[in-house]
Amino acid sequence: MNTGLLILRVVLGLLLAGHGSQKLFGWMGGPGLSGTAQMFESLGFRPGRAAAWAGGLAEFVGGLALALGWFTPFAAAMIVGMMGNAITAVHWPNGIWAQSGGIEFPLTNAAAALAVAFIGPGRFSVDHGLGWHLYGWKWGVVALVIGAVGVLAGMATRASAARTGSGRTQPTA
Amino acid sequence: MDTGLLLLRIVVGLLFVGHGGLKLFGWLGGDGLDSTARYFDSLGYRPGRRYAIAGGAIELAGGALLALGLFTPIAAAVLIAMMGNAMAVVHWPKGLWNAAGGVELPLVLAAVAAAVGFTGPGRYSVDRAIGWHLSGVPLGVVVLLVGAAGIAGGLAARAWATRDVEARRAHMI
Repeated sequence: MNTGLLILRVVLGLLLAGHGSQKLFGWMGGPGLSGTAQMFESLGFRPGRAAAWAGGLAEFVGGLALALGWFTPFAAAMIVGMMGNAITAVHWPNGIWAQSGGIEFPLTNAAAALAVAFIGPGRFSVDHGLGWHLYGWKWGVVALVIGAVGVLAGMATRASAARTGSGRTQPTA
Repeated sequence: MDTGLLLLRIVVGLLFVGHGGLKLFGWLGGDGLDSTARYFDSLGYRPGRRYAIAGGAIELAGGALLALGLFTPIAAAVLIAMMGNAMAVVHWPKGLWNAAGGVELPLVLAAVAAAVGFTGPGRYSVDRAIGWHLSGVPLGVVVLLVGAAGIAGGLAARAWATRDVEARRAHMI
């Protein structure tokens, strides 16, 4: 039980932290903050720089916290929110499979993070060391709700950018 | 705990079922067996048809068993073996990140399978319903070892098939 959760948390958490570091710092061949800001801007997350900070921190901090098992449901919520935005803004039109850029990979990440919020991080975790019991039904739902709010906020941002963006292309009299 | 494991098993298990269906039957826009056989042949798994059937069946059956929580340790072990082969042969040369076809996704899927091998499938599973309580560190280690043996077996069979072809080619020259 505890060993399995440790494996899952460390693999998933460090990979996501790696993605975050690509966005924030340009580590490991990543685009860095400016490149990410441009990409996010083109996806409709405006202002792109603020969105790049938010997305990069969600992955970097959320991933490290998940790996450590520290504030676990909040780490899971950040990852669920980030992956939900990736699915809705990037992967959804590409279908299911990862090979064609579909939702498979962000869906797996979100499901695994949410599962850890329900199950708890196990004994080999900072939460456990501090005597925190942030898991079970209630905390799983908390992680899901916070993550869903993050996804809705991202979708609302993009919807409003799409409106003003199309307004901008209209010739002004 | 049990809800999280159910979520994890169903999402990852059904994705595996889909991949198996893609390979064997051309479900969901997949290639189907003939094309998968050619692909496996080109990867060095020869005869390609035999390995395409084996690989597709492992994903289809392993994924279904994982989702049901039936014979969970066996499902976990064969899925680890399959993902290990995929990582070593297909994804490793492409680096870490999923966007470039790297090892990230099969690594996370293998980590999920390994984690469930340790934790067991939880209460909402067929194993539990028929009175099997298959979890714990010794069982998880067995799952990892069987999975590793499957990886080694697949890679050895591939190396053998490739060497055979190259030896014949050298003889012809």
